[in-house]
Amino acid sequence: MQDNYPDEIIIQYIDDEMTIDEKQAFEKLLKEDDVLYERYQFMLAAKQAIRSRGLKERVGKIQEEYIQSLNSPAVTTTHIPSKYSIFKTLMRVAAVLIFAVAGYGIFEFSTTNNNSVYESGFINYQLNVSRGAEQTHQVDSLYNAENYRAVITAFNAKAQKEQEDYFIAAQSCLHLNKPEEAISAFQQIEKMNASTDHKSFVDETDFYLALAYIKAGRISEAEKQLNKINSNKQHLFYNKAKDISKFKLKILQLKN
Amino acid sequence: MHVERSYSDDGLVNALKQPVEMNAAIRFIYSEYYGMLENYVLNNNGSRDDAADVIQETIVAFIEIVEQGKFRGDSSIKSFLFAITRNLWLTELRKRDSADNRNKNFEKGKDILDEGAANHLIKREYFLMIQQLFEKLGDKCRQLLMMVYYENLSMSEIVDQMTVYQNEQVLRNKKYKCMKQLEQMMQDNEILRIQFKNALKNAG
Repeated sequence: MQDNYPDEIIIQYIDDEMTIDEKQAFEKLLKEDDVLYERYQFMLAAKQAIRSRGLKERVGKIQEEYIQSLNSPAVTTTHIPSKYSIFKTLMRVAAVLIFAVAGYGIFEFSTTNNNSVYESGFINYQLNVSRGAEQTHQVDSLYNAENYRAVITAFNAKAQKEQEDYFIAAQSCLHLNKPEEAISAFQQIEKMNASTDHKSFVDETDFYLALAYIKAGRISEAEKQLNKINSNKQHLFYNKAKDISKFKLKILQLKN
Repeated sequence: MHVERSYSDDGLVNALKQPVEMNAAIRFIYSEYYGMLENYVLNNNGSRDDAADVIQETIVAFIEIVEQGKFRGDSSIKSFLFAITRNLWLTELRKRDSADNRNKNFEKGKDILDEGAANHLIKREYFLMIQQLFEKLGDKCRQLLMMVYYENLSMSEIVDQMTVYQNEQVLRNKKYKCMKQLEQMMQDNEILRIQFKNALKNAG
């Protein structure tokens, strides 16, 4: 299709680049020349189609965004959980807690024994260095040298025994894994302290007797002893007694 | 998708005419009407992909009708969009199976649209064919013509962005050349040319 008018003229008209006179002259031609009119319509359709393409891209991007939001509703809408889903979540949390607690309980039950609780509470008793008598000094030396059997021998050989002698002997018995003998020695200190104004190793005896009971598997008596300490915040071993877990004592009671 | 605000029908029409508000208005259309339009296509032998394509075409056509001042507001936007979707979908079904789908619904759908809107939908069929030809142009031509006819940038703004063109006159010459190339491809497409001529005759 050819006519006498270059494309530039039609495009100038479509793009509104003509003067008013040029525009009026061109519109007159459009009415008179069917071929020109058809070319003008073609060009106009091309321009509109290009614009439509841009608009379609724009709408397409928003549509894509919209469809994506439909596929992931949490992004676009506030999720209000139903009562059922809250219940389910709580049940899951509860189940996890139950498993965790049960797991912890099983672990503690399997790993807790008399000796483990005793060891966790035990602190090695250090003797004071200011004792006078030669025989006493010998016992102290043996104790400090961790020669506990010799301590017991020396203790048995000693005619006049004081609270401190019983205490060192009891400590040695604990080291020698003889808790019942240690208990007897500690109880002897208690008796001596009960019958004299000259009380010695009172707080120490309370605490180590409790440990001796634990080591011997006499958990109820150990608990009584620990409760006695825990009821007195001024007690020398108050904090140490607190550190001994009541839960672990319950396990020991179950096991014993 | 974040919908910035809601619109009345009048507000929506005004927003679609403002470039800065257009995206918010389109998002509102999707949030309000996509489900309804999708249901229509799904209930009439269409797939979700079919629905997405038809709804995209519907919204583009609606915006163009609004921009050209052909939306008179005799019916609600909801009814108007529904009528466009029905028209486009039934046209598509007719293409797929021309005999079975010449049904009364199509005629009903046409009734809701006034003549201007219905003619625009017919014209859009040519737009799609022209767009396919447009894609065959070179990158520079496509970029330039999009800047001119979609983004409405001035020649000086385009010279700033497309530094390959030294000045506005060089750019203007390039635009003529690109449009001439596109027109030539349109003239060479016999189906397009014949249908377009017939449509012009029918339009009067």
